[in-house]
Amino acid sequence: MAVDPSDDHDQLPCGTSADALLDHLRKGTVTGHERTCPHCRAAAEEFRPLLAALDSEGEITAPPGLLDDVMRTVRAEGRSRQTLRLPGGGPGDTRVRHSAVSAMLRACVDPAEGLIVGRCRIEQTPDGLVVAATARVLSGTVIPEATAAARRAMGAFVQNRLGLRVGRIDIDVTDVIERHGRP
Amino acid sequence: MHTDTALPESVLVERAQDGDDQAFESLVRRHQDVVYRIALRTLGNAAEARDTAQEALITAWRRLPDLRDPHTFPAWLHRIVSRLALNALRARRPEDPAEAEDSGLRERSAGPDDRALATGLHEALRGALAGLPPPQRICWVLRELEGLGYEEIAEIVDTTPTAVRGRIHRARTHLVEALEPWR
Repeated sequence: MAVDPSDDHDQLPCGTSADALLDHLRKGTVTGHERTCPHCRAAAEEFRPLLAALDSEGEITAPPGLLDDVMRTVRAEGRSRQTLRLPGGGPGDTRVRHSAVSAMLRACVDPAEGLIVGRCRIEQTPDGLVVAATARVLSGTVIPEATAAARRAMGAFVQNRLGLRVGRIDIDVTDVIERHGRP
Repeated sequence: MHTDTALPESVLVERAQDGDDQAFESLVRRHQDVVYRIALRTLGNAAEARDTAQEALITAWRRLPDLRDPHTFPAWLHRIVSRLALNALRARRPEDPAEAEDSGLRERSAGPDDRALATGLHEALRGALAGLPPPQRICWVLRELEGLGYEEIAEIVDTTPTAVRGRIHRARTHLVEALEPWR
């Protein structure tokens, strides 16, 4: 096969793309033309060792320990050092990292109610704690009911567990997800 | 949280963007094999591939807040590891042990004595891959070994789909010629 950098020359004389032919040979989806055309058959013969070499590749998986090494660094770095200051008698302050509060707020919302929370950001304002969350609804969910339930659960958590006033809880529904076992 | 594995990927990405390291761990579990494979096939050296995969995953954690569309996470991650692998390849000097190892493979695999061995064919492919210029090698790895489309590869390697097509064509031509003794 001649070495030619131009795109046109990726085509065999019959017009079939060599790349497409190789792809079909690998997937076992060779067309009627490719099976009978002499140009395609000659190219397929040229590709035979390459196909065999590609097939001889075993499953390559990540080395053991990679995940642990990555997560050790990730956990050591954390995402944000921002903290929420909680009310309470001193001496001393009680602070909770934003990422921990977000995780607890997400955990308040039971996916069984039809809502899965993704992003959950918080901000302490003079009016109280402002929560901004994104969520996916499971198909068939009545959205106003599900978001109202999520707001109640998050609001109760903010008031009862953090001892803070709720400023606002914004929920941005971004997608619909099919329920498992449903069409 | 074991239930993370059942969550849609975009939800995991958004949670990880907020600093949820458990969500990020689920993403690493899902993608570490492909990240390592891209690094290994580009670099041809297991130790370097492990380092590059680790660096890519940690870089992903650090840059995750900048990712705007959570659905593009896999392509974005492929881009990170591909670029790091290319940089590592370009940083090598010809006398580097990893390259020397590749050259050894190339010479050994070219001999007809190995013809009967499937491992010989497999090593011949590895050796031939090591002989490709880096831009061709990465395009071939992403197309033929990871099954990505021209558009996606073009975005990853910062070029046009036509240029990607040309590189894959040249890579395939080189590999077919290198494996000719096995025909």
